[in-house]
Amino acid sequence: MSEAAGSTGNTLDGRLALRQLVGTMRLDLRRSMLSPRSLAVYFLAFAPLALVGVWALTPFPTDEFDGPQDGSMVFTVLFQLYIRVSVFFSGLFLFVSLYRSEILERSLHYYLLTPIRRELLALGKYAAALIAAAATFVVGTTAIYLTVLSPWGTAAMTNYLFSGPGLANLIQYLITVVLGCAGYGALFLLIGVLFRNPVLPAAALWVWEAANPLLPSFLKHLSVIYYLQSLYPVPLARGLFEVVGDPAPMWASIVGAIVFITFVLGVASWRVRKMDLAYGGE
Amino acid sequence: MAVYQRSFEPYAGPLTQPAWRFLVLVRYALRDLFKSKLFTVFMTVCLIYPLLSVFAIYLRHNADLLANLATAGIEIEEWMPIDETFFGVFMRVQGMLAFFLVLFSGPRLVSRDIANNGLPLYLCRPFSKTQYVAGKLGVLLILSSAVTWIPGLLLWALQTGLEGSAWGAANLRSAVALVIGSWVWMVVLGLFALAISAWVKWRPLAGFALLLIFFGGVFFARAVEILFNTNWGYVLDLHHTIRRIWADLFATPAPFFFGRPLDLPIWSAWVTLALLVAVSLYLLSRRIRAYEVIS
Amino acid sequence: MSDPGIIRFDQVSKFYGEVLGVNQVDLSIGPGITGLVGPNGSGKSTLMNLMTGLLQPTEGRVTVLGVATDRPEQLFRMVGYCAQYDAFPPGLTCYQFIYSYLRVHGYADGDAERLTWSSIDRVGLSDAGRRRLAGFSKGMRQRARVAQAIAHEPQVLVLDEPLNGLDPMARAEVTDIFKEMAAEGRFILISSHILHEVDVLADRVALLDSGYVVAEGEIDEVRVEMEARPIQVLVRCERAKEVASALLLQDHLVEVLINDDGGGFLARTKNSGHFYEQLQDIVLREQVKVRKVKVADSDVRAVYQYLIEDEGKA
Repeated sequence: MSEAAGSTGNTLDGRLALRQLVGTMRLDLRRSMLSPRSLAVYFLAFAPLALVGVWALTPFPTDEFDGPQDGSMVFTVLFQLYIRVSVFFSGLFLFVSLYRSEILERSLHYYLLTPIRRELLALGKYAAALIAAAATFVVGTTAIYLTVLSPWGTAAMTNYLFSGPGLANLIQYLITVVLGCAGYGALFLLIGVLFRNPVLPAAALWVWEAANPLLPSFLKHLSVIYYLQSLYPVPLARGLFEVVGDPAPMWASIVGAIVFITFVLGVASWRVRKMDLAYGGE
Repeated sequence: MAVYQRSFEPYAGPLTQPAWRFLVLVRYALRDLFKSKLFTVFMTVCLIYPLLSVFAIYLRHNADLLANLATAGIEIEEWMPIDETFFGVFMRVQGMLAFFLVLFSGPRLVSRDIANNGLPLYLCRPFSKTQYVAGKLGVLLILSSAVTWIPGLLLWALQTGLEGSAWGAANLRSAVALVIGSWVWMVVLGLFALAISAWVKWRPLAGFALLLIFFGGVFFARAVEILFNTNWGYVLDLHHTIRRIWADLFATPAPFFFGRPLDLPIWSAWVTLALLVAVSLYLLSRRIRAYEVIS
Repeated sequence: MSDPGIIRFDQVSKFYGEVLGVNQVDLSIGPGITGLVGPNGSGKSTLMNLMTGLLQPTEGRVTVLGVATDRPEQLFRMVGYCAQYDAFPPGLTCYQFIYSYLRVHGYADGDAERLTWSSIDRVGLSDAGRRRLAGFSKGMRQRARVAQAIAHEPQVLVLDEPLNGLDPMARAEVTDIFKEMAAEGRFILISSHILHEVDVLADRVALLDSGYVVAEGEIDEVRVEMEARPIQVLVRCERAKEVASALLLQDHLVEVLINDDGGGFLARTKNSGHFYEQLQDIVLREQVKVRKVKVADSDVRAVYQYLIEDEGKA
């Protein structure tokens, strides 16, 4: 008899759990990376690259910019828009539909008929979508960053990256974008399992995040964008789209994000465990 | 040779004329929509602003009130003029509410038929693709009309009745702008919502896509502005585009953004909307078909 | 109390809001093949979904070999369920479909591959194993779902209308698989709305109607009741009263109801063959124009109505 078939005890065998997690991620990764909605994610991640590419190829008055460090400033403002639109909506498209799309396709029962704890199933599905989103946005962010630095030539760019703060900044942006995917992803997973029609809660979340600059200081702390902005290596200039407020320490942002994601996944798992599967008319 | 007695009797009663057959879809879709209490409540909410406007026009013509306000030193004509700006604001408020009506009702109209392989059931009858789209679009046009140009024209007529025909003649432009501005918005919005509905099976995702395309354009425009130092990115911001057209129709100032006017040429706004309609029609023609494609 | 040797429904009810799914079901299912028969909407699928934890009961408790249905991590080591939904995750081949979910079970690559091919062979899809499910015929899709349900060699197999869409050859093959598995001492629960289908397969049967179990027991007992019941025939013809009067001279006729419009009648007969012969004679003899002759209770719902009425009378 094979190993999996023999594991029927109450205690969750760690190795078995890991194999089940990997099995779930394997199935869901294909769904997150190759389904029609992943095209929307790729568009959101790479459309800004096309825009920046045109900018990089267009001659501009060099006296307005001192060099790659100024390009980096431009990137910071663009990155804010990238997080607010591309990352936000990609998270929405990928994570809200983790369960709902399978209910629509009438294929969720295949998962629910396997001997996997539903908490583990939720984690596996979340992890697969996160890997898909994070990989896409890490590539997108890196490509946009390098394209923004490219007009000053390879030598200046290399110098800025490896002898200046360029590479450290890039790594910090990448951490931010991954945490953005993780944070928004966890929220959208929760919205997806709690609400049959998630349009209103998702729209409310967007308004909340967008209204962050207008909120009192203590309410600012209750938004994802606040913690993400605290991770930016280059401070933002003040403006209508930019969050104004005391940034949280970097460690607090990262630890807070992890605690928050764990909590949200816990609630989502509890909801999924109690869920009745009914393929009604969606 | 076997001889079979013909017992089949085809339907010989009256048929709906082809030109009006699309209204069958409208009737059933509206009945379906109004089964939702939330939708009925929202539809009612959409009529609050027109009611407030009626109240404002009434106040504006209440002689006793005007006398009392004049005693208190308030000149209501300056404080609350009924002019092209009044109707322009009405258009903007009700236009946005029409957007949310379409957001609520549009995404389900075609997606449900496609998800349940229902299109062949319609199109294998004497019912064309054009009639199908007209039927679905009709639902959105009726709903949007009920909150935009119809109450707008009633307000204009009320004001003309109270103020006199001279006011009506002087402000005829507002009435024309209400009708044209509403119809442009309704057709663009309706066709685009149907196109999204035809391509995105899951209703909430279709709703998100509509929201992103109508309100996400401002972020694209902002990125273009940062990179290229130009306002031209705003031609793809549909919210701004329609406001620009309304402003032109009502002869009010161009919409403001970040505290400054965005005075893009009016033709650019019309081109954007024309392109959007063309793309929507193309997407619909690709997706509305009488057969199921298995890939 | 949970019994590790049986599948037990203990006063189980399920309501969908105000709509009844099943009501106060008290049922014990042992090894072998058990048929769950009922018309559409009678609660068969609800009962199966309750048994596999896809639905939670509003009241009562379901245990499968002593395991509660809200413990999927234990339950689905023992249970395989071929649900009624004719849908698959998009883009997968038959092999990928079965293999991928075996990986979710926790099987290592080698074991999963072996079990996948074994189940594919068992349902006769070896040649189509590498083909995409989207290109499968209805019968092939049904077999793929059966293969997925049996791939992990479950002790309890739940099959919701498993013979739907299968041609006679495939039916015979799949039926043989179920019989083989039952002979190995497994629990097999099969639902169908066709009594005859279950008749040739099951050792025991439970009849459902409108969410209630109306009969259960050995299939022979139910069959005896079936054979004794009269059938209803609807006749639309001219001079209906005359024809009905002539027919009433026959012993096998239980009752005749003339339609309000006088254009037909409903007859209940214990001998349908004889009834049709007599009707033909009368029609030819009296030169009566007949518009329609239809068996009014050939559907299974009529059987349950009969059973319920019969129980009521008893």
